[in-house]
Order: sequence, then structure tokens, then C-alpha cells
Amino acid sequence: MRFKIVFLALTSATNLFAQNSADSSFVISQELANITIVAPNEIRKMREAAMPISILGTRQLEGTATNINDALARTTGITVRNTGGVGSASRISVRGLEGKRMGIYIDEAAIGQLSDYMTLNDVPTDMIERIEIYKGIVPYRFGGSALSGAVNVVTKEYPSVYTDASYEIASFNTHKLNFTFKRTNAATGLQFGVGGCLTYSDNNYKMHLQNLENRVVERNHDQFKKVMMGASLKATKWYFDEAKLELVFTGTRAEIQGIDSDIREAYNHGMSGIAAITLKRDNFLIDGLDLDFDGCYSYGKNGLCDKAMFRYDWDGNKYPAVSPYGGEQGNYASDSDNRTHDFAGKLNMNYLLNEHSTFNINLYTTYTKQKPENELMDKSFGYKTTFPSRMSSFTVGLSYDLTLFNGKFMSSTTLKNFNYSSDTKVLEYTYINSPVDMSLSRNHWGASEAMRYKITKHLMAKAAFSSEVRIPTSEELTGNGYSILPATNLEPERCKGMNVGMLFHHANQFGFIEVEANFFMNQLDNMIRYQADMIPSMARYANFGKVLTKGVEAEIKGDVTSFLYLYANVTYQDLRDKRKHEIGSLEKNPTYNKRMPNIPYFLANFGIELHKENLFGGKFQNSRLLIDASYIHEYFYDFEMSKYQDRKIPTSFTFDTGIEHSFFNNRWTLTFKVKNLTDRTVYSDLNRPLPGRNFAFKVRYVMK
Amino acid sequence: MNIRNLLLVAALSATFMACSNDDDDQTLTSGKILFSTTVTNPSGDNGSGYLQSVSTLEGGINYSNANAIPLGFGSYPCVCKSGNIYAFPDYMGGTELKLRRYILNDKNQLELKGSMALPANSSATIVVEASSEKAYVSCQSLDLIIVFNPQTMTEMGRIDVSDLRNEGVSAYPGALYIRDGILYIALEQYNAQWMPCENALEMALYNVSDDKFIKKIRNTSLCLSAPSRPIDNQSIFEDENGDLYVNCVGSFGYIPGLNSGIARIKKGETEFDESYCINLSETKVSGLSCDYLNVLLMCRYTSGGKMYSYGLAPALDPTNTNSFTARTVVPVVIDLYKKTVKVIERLPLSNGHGVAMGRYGNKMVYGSANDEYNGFSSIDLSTGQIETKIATVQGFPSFFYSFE
Repeated sequence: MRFKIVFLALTSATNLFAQNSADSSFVISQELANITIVAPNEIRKMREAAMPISILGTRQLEGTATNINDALARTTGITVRNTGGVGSASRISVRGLEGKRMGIYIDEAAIGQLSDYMTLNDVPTDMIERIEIYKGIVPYRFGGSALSGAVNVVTKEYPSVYTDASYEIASFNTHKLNFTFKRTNAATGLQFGVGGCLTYSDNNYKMHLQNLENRVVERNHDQFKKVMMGASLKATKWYFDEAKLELVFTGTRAEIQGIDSDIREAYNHGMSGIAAITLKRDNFLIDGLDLDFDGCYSYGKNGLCDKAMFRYDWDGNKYPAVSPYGGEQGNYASDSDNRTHDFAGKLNMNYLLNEHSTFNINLYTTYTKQKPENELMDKSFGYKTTFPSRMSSFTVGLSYDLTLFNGKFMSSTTLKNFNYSSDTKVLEYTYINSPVDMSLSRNHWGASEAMRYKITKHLMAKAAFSSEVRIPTSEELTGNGYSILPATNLEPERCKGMNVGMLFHHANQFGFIEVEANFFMNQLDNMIRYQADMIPSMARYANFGKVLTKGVEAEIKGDVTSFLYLYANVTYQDLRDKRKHEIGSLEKNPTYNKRMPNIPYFLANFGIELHKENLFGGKFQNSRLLIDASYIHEYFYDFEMSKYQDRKIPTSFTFDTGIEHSFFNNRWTLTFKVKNLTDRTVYSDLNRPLPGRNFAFKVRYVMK
Repeated sequence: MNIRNLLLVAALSATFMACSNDDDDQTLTSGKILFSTTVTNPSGDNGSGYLQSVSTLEGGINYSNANAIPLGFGSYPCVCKSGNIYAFPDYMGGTELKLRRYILNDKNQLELKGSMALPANSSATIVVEASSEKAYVSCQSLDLIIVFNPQTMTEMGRIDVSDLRNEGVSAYPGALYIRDGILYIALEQYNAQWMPCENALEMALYNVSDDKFIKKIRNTSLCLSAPSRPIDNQSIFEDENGDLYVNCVGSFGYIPGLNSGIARIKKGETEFDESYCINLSETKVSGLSCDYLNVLLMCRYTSGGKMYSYGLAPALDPTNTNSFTARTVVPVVIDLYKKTVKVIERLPLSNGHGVAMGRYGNKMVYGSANDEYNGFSSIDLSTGQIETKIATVQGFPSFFYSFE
């Protein structure tokens, strides 16, 4: 009986997202005593969850993708807006909503607070088990506040003895070195692991300058360096089923590439140390109560160094910096030394009452303390511009999962309470150079409901509804001390959404065929946006209006033959401005019902994978040929008001290919990739040219 | 159903859903009246301006932007006496780096006559013409004036004013004006926050014939700062006596003690007139509940010392920090000779973005973004008769000019 309950728990919504999964799309058969259980694998189980979710497995990650963003960009409903080459800033959006509205997690730990030091792209694809993309509803066990969805990168759970090392050399003097080394002491159950990665790139590709009559120049100040080192110690034979301590160090230096002007000296830098602890125990205190605790502390320093005394155009003409203290990329000089302390803690308690009901409570807290210093900037402005601040938040999530009809029907109901407070100094509304103390505290509620029904063994229907809240960030609330004024009356954003969909999954002799279609609709209220003041150097954030999204997405994928895998997906997302009137006026809003600008609305992807074992003879060899195509229809940067509207992000239609060959049962793998095969001029953000055709070669060694 | 058919279905459904019902286009596309509106993007920090020519402001007509020409965000077009209409790149960057010259052609339609490349980070907003073959454009964020030929739209030379910076600030050339063969360049002397650091008025004077530096003038006795509003080409103007008046914007009221107001350079002189000043922090405004204005955002001189203006008074809506909804901009008339400022009753308050102004026959037209509409109102310069909502527009009316 105990086993039966555990099995039910595994297939309930509560535990559908557990880690440590197998990576196969096939059904796994387990035989235990006299019971034969046919359990879907982890990825399929997640796909069968009530929530709208897309999963990327190692098949997609180890294809032509060179990083997480590449893989994400081929997923239904996902757009990735890159601004440049390796290490450049990028924005991920789910169904058109992006940025602060997205939750970004690694192994369910939010990295939003660490965004100055770490991005998703920093995680080598070799280390990733899968990527979970939640659309509209963020699982309660993640904690925190996110509106439009979440991306959770699940890293691999390595075997007890494991070595993985790879080196990639690519165009634009790009080098990537990754390694993972793990050993387990069988007697004590202690597992030791170390890993790290080094990334370097000159990013010196040629680019077209849209604002300068498409002049072609070579990027000359975009060098990127990153190092990450980590170590972990995990115990599995102590009181907890799993007790893990991880230590991570990161260091980054990224030059700033000019586009309209020729930036020559400015760069960003950052270093951080992160300590994380994980505790897990099933049947904690009482039978059926599972405990999962994560705590993470990080200390970091980062800054912008921009003290060039001159600026240059692309003809080499020299201009003095705006500020006599220097600065190439803005009005002021900067040599910032910002110190940050971040803590995030999450406690998840899950109680399995019976085969129908599961209760969950999730407590999530964050604390951020910032101590910025920037003497050069202070000199530029003539007064002290940066002040220490602290912000904390506490979120309580209560959820109830209901499973009926032998698991055919599944429902997950969540109620969340958000509490946050902040203390800092801010500039007053009227007088900008005399900061005053400020503190505030707020409380808000949110809820979501997701359900699914399995119509047949292969076909299921899904429906999800949510009313989620995103609490404002520190900068949105309190400004930045010099150009963004405080807006302490900001209300949190609220997103009410629904998703209905059908999923068909059929195992065939070669693997599987899967077809999924979803219709989604959501309304974002109190959208927080930047609002310029009367003089351009002054701005603040304000609540602004309502956006309605309607969309459909469809995907088909599967093993067509023993050697051919195909996938294709298409997304149409229609985001419209639903403010009927100008804010504070009876005047009709000129952009009412117009498509929201600067958001792609029609995108599609298509891919082929040909794979064959021992293609060239021999044993334990595997060959793969991959082709991925991506299409994003052009879209306007501004609201489409005039027939002469000219600022737009042009249609992007790119092909990536790769050839992969592995030896000795995947011990050695060689991969050659060509990105942007047709050498198209590509943009995914206005006036931010992306690389043309480029090449990469990678060698990987795995011992397990 | 194979994959190809599925894709086709998906594409067709997407195409079907992409169709939208835009409003019918009723915009007039020609006329001697120019105006532009500003429409902000959802992110709020950017957007676009829209310029169009229309034939009438009568009858409460509603103008859309469907046939308007997109402009850079944050700058106003600049109309010179020659009839040349200059449009600038986005003030903060992000659009094609070109200065474009338009005219109203025989059909009273805007016609592009040429363009000239501008350096990045120019923040160009003001053009002043010395002749049909010589003009100046101020590139504020580069401490640079570019001399160019309007006919050919080619660069003829550069005037670098960075040597005229004061300590800790940028020279920041604002509005330009030519009188008696001398080019007056307002030096805002802004810090990194685009704020003045002292009550001082400075201008650089150059000889138009050879672009040689004459001198820098400086006045601290008037206790005003930041001579000219750098995006308003009429913030330096001449009255019928040949005296030059300068609308000094100070700190916009953000920094108490750094004052705004009106200064003067008398005819035949090249120094600020120490005997003349309207200091807005000391000038009580007749009819204004909060008594004082922070700054004059727009100035349109008519005659007889009368200047119509939009004044900013945050105290009219002191708790509203939203610059879109705060109705803090008030139409006023200023008697430059008597140094009086008076609110124009019955003209609506506006926000800080809807501040278009211009003369239209014997009327002064005020663009307004108010509680009821975005559009235009007017005051008859002879009778003082007020007409409101004479036309409505899409977006905030930010610029107005009439050739009639």
C-alpha cells in the first residue's frame, strides 16, 4: 500500500516536476515483485500535467544549439531577443510577456536576484537534464512572483562516478571549456563534485548599422570573458534523504559594444560567491509529509567602468564626453563598485492525504541588501547619487491537488499571498538633489487553478486559469537615485489568464508521435512601465493600462522512421492595447486595440534529425545530422499609427545545421555546427545586429 | 494529415487572425497647417512623433496619424522663415541619424527635399538659417554646431564649443539665433543630469560670415540659469524693436534657487541687459492659484511686448507624480515690457507633453492634452475670444506651425 501511495504521488501534479529523471521519450517499465507498472517517463509525465508546459530534453539541447537561448527559441510560444554575440544581454518572453514578468530558475531556485552575475546562458548545455517552460502559471513550489511564466533549468543528476569535459572553438575567436568531475564514497554515501566553465569571445563579427545607412563595420569592443567554478557535497545517508551544499564562484568581464557610436573603453564587470544548501526528506515527521528546503546566499560585487574622456563616431571623429569626468555610453562617468548581499529561502511541505488529495504549503522569502558606490558618477551629477537599500519579500503559497477517476482527472488549486517591504533613500518628486528616507510595505493576493482530463490513453484535454501578481522591483519602486524618480504608489501587476489545450501522445515502434495545440488568453492589468518626464534625464515607473493577449500554438513532433525525427511548431500571439482612454482623460486612446509593438506575433520552427548507429561501421558509434529552421515574421517597433511607419524588426528566417558523431558509446563526441547557414542579416531587437554565418567545433569526453 | 498540411492550416489561421479592423482613414493630407503629435510606446521610454500638414482647424475635426510622417521621439520639428521644415532624429538616439529637410510643395503636401547625416548622440533639435545656402544645427550632447548647406544638405564645417565648458559641466548648446550677422549660441552648461549648477547665463557669439569665435558672454547678476529651452527654437526671439529675449528654463523647478525667467539682450548690444529680468520665482502670476510658475515651456511672441506661453506649475496638482495625468501646464500671456504674467482663463490645463503652440492667422493656437480631449484650442489675439476643442488629434499635440 505504501508503494501504491508513493506511485500515485509520482503521477500527481505535486510531484510531476521532480528532478532526477531519466532522459528518454520512451515508456519505462518497472517490475517490482508481482506488480508491473508502466510509468511514463519524467518528460512525458510533465507534459501530461495540468499546467501549460513545454519541455526541452537533451535531444534538443545537444543538437545545433550552442546555448540555452538557442534551444528555447525553438519552442512554441517562446521568443528570445538577443542583442549581440556570446555573453550579450537577452530577453526571454513567454507568449509575449517578458523581462521582470518571467521567472527564471535553475533547479527551481530563482536566479532573478543573481542576474547581475549569472544568466541562463551561463549554464552549459552539457550539464542540463531538461528545461521546463511554464506558460501562464508558475508552479507554486517555485515560490516568488512571476506573471507570464517561468523557465526552470534542471541540471543533470550525475551517476556516482562521472567525468564530463568539453571544449568548443567557434567563429569570432570564441572558446568554451566545460568540465564536471564527480566521485562517490559508497561507504558513507557522500558525493563530491566539482565543475566549471570558461568562456571567451571577441564577438568581432561584421554588422550592418541601420541608423547609418546600413554601413558595415566590424564589432571592435565586445570581448566577453566569464569563469564559473563550483563544488558540491551531497549526503544521502544522513537524517535527510538528501543534504547538499554547493559553492559557486563566478567572474565576468564584458566590454560594451557601440552601435551608433564607436565605444572603445567602457565595460561591465562582476564577481560573486554563492552558497546554497538543499535538504530533502520524505515522510518528514509523519508519513506522507515531504519536506524540501532550499537556501541560497550570495555576495557579489559588480560595476560599470565608463570613464573615457572622449567619444568617437565610426569615422573616427572625436568628441568630448558629455560629463567632464568622462563617459562614453551615457551622460555621466561611472566607476561603480556595487556590493550586494542576497538571500533566498524556500520551504516546501507536501502532504499526501490519500490517493485523491495532496496539500502543499510553500514559504518563499528573499532579502536583498545593496551598498552601491560610484564616486565618479557622484561627481558627474554634483551630489551623492547612490544609497544603501534593502528589500525583502515573503510569499506564502497554499495549494491543493485533487486526483480523481484513477488519475484521469487532475486539478491543482493555489492561493498565494505576497508581502514585501523596502527601505532606502529616494529623491523627492520636486527636488531632485535632496534624498529623503523612505520605507514601505505592501500585501497582495493571487490565485491559480489548473486541471486536465485524460480522455483516452493517448489523448488528454487541459485547462488552466490564473490570477497572478508581480510585485514591483526595487528600482521600479524607489528609483535609481539619479535618473529614475521614486514611484512609491505603484501597484503590482496582475495577470488573469486561461489556457485550454489538447495533447495527443502515441508511442510507436520508433519512439513516439506527439501533437499538441493550445489556445491561450490573458489580460495584464496595471502594467508597470517606464515613463519619461518632461526632461529626458528624469523618469519614473507608473502603472499603465491593460494588455489583452489571445493566441494559439501548435506543435507536432515525433520519430517518423527509425532514423528520422521531425518537429514543427507554430505560434500566433496577438497582444492588444486595451486602454480605451488616454490615462486620466476622456480622450480615446489612439493606440486602443492596436497590436502591442516590439513583440513578435507570428513565429514558427521546423527541424529534422537524422540519426543512425554505426553509420561508418564499427561498434558503439552514433551519428546525427541536424537541421533547424526558425521563422519570425517582421514586427513594428512602435505602435502602427501611420502608413509610413518605418521602424521595424525585419523578418528573420534562419537555418542552423550540425553534424555529430560519437564513439565508444558516447564517451567521445565530435560536433560541427553551422549557425545562420544562409548568412542572413538578422535582428531580434531594434538596431542590434546578430552574427551572420558562423561555425563551431566541439569535442566532448564523458566517462561514467 | 501530414506535417505540410498542418503547417498550412496553422499559417492560414494565423493570417486570418492577423486581420484587424483599423479605423477608416479620414485624414486630410495637405494644407498649410503643420502639427505633430507624440505617441509613446508601452515601455514608456520611447515612441514616435507624427508630423502632418492639414488644411483647417475648424469644425472640431479629428485627425488621425494614418498619413503622418514618423518623427524622432522627443524633438520638435523646426520651421525656418524660408519655409524649410527640419525634422530631427530621436532625441535620445534610436532612429536613423539624419537631419531631414521638408517643404510644403505646391499641393501643400510635405515633400522631402534632402537629408544630411548627423553624428551619433547629437540630440539635435534646433536649426537656424543664415541664408539659403548656410544654416546651423546644434548638436547638444556633442558640444557641437554643424554648419551646413540647406540646399544640398551637405556639411560645410563644425563649430566646437566644448572649450567653453565651465568646470564640472558640459557647454551643451541650446537654441540658436542670428542677429546682425552674429550667431548666438545659448550655452546651457548642464551637468550629467541636464541641470545647471549655478545661476549664470552664458552665450557664445560667432561671426556668421566666417564662423569665427567672437566672445562668450556671461551674466550672474540676473540670477537666472540655462538660457533657452534646447528643444524650442523660439525660446530666443526678437521683438519689433530688435531686442532679443531669451526664455531661461533654469532647473525646471527641480532644484530650488536655480531660477527660470526671461532675459534680454538689447538691440545693438551683445551683452545681457542687466536692467531687465523676469524672474519667475519672484513674479506672481495673476489668476494662478499657486501664484508662481516653475518655468515657461513654450514661448510665442506676437507683438507689442505680448508673449503667449505655456507655464509649468507642479503645485497645481502637487500629489500627482504622473506626468501624463498631472494637469500642471497652464496657458499664460506675458507682457514683456510690464513684466507681468497672467493666466488665460478658460483655456484648458494640459500635461507636460501636450504643449504645442503657434500662431494661426490672428489667433494663438494651444495644443492640449487635458481631461477631455487631445487637440487644439485658440485665443483670438484681438478680442481674446476663446475657442476650445477646435480639432482633436491622436496622441499628445507637441508641435504646431501655420503658414497661413
